[in-house]
Amino acid sequence: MKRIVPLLLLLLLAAPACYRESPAVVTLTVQLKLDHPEAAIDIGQLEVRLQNKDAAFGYIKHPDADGQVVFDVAPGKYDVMAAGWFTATRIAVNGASEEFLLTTSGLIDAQGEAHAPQLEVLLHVAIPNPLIIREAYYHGSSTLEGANYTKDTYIELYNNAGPGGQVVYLDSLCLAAIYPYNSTTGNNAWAGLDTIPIAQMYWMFPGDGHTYPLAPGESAVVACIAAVDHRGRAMSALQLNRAHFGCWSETLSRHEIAAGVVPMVLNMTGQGTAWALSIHSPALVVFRPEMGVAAYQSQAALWERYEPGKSSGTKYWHIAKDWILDGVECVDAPSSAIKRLPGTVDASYVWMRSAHYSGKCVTRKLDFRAEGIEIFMDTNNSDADFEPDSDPQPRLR
Amino acid sequence: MRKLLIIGLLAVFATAAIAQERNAARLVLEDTSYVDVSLGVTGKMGALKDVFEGSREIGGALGVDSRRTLGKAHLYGRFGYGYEYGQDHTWRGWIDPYETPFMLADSIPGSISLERYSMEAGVGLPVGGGWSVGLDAAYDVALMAKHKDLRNKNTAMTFRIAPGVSWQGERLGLGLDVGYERSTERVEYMQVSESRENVLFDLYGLWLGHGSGFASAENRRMKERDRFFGGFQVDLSLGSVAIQNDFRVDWHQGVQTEVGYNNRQFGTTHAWNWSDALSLEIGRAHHIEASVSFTTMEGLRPLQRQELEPDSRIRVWVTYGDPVSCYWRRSHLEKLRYVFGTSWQLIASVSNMGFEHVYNEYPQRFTQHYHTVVSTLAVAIPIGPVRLTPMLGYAINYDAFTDVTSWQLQEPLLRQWDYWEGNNYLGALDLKWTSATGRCYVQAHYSIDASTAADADGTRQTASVTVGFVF
Repeated sequence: MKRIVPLLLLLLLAAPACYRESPAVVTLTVQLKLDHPEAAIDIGQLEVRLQNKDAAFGYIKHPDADGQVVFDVAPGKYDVMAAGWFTATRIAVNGASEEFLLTTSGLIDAQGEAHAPQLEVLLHVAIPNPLIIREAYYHGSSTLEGANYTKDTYIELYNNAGPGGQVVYLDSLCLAAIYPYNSTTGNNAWAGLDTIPIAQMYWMFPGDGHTYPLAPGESAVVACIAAVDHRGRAMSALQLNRAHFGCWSETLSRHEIAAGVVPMVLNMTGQGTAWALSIHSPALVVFRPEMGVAAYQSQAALWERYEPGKSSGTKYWHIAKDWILDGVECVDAPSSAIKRLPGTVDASYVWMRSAHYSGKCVTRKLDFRAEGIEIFMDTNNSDADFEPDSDPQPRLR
Repeated sequence: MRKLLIIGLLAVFATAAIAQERNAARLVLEDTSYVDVSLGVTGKMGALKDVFEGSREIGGALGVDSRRTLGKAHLYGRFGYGYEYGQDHTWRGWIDPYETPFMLADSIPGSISLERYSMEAGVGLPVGGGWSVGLDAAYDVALMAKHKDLRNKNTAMTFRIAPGVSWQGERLGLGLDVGYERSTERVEYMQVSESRENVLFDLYGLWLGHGSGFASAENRRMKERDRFFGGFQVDLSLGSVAIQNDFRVDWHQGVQTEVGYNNRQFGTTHAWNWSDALSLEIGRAHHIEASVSFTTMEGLRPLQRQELEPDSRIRVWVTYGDPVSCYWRRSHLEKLRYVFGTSWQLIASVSNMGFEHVYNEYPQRFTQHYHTVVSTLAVAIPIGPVRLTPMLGYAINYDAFTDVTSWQLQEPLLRQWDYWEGNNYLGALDLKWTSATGRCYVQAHYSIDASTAADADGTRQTASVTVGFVF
């Protein structure tokens, strides 16, 4: 009995033990810094978004006059995006951080270095480019019988220069999706590097340099898999036999092309039967290698490389960030989304709220019309520039 | 028995496990020898159901219980096999989806089959002076499979060992047992159809989570739990008054990881459970049972990201800092049951239960709380070898609130909440026939749970029949 009583008392002492709500809070200070301090902008009008990468939670604040924002949030995996569009001056400013971890003891950056919970985000003044991706339809639809259908995907390019603007020649421009294929992949091994990898293949517009002009206000639709009439196959009923270009190669057995559609030129690593374009989160780019495509391809030893840190496995063609004329980072959802495009190309990302295979697409928002020509939003910030879940309306031939 | 089901499922899920535990040292208090073989079938149907339940469920169970005295040793053994099949199950990523807030699950309704094998053995040995020692051990296996994409296959194991000690005097008896339980459950998702993409959801409490297109490389998860428990029993006999009390406490830690090499973790849980059950007999005609239990749980999520491991050149998940507390659950259950009579019996019971769930990822906070009282009245009527027990009851929900936000998966949240809140009529009829020799019995049960709201969820009916033989 003398031994049992102390044991009983121990059990009773344990009874008050209880887990009480005690959320951890970390204070993160974000300092915005302009790469062109002379740009006349009111930094207080920018929106700074702190996005939790493990959950869907995102927090938006405006900085003070000194460009500083303070967030009190739970520890977690985050990134920061800052953007502003000044209508009067037509200046767009944006910037983004790499993904980082915020712990109770500080900030762990992408390289694994520990810091105080303070972050500096460099803001870039966006320089509009005449050639833009106006619409991207990658979500797929369904067959007439209800099965998933992905062969009707397309990308539309547009000359956004406006009245009197320059004519863009598509010849030798390239179209690609960036690796990793999906935004849901654990992380991006290329984060913070100056070159970014292409997923599996890229497509070059044919021509001798002056074959395919695109005047301001004109579009070119590129069918990604099957440049055919999909009306008898899919609920999307897209007539991509009227696309301007088709991604087609006889080495890709799943690709199709109708007469009259100009085939793109394929450059592929490895093997495959089709362009493996993500149906939920491709990062799409239009680029031009500064040395020309032929020279680029001849420098495979320089530009075709393994994943950073690896010396075997899959090789990826890489491109320099500066070669990208336009890009759009499409993610499945903000939570767990990795960032593949640099902030100078796309400071944020766009995501579809509709279910996969919904038959919806992402489309540029119209900014204004001048002399009958549409000018679309181009602030290098796809969250502001694109409308998700819009109905596909390709401007076909 | 909707409210009672919630109590069982949610409020004190661990109490169910505790109830299976025994202080094997106390086997010596009853000198008995028998083998009880039972075979039963159960069916459930009706729209008034929890989000994890099937619209129709049918199950069969075979059980063999045995007590023997071998020399001074008092032995107990049990083997059980159960098979359940249910239609239109959704979101059931774990066999017990209420055990933890962290779960992989999908929304597509499908049939589920569940097999359970359970084995338990105990031995009690008197050692003189009123003292006895004992050891109880149990091993359970469960296999669950969903038969429609996404298809989860769950394999679960529980092993438990609990030594105990007991002292019995003329009027006073004391018992103490402690134990350890290890349980694991592995879930693996697969998809057969190639023409549809399905979404797999990573849930972490109060229907928060995110879904992504099914990828075969990320579809396996392992849940492990270590539980430590103890109990203290007191028996007191004072003439015609007999008192029995069992106080139990347990603590567990659970962790979920990805199956494989890459160190990925999904969440950790800690929980305390306390319960006390008091039984009081006054003469032969009055029997009072009172019990209270309390559960408190904390859920934590790790801070992880994938990094290249320099030696192996593969990407592994690296953990930084301490896990972050994000989920809290508190629940309580108080029950009082009074039985009056010796032949005919009047059985009155009332129970009060409540819980509070919180998910807090500062500054976001989501809560849910719920309280209900269930009162029942039953009469046990002996008619020859048959004992008939009709029961009527009413469940009244006196406090209920849930956040419903765009961050949460609203469809299952509202479906679950629609089932929980509201008042219910309860009805049941139990029948037990025992043969003259006492060697054969048949038990039949029927119950109905009906929502009091005319426009609500209708009813849920349960029926079961068990045939048993005692040797």
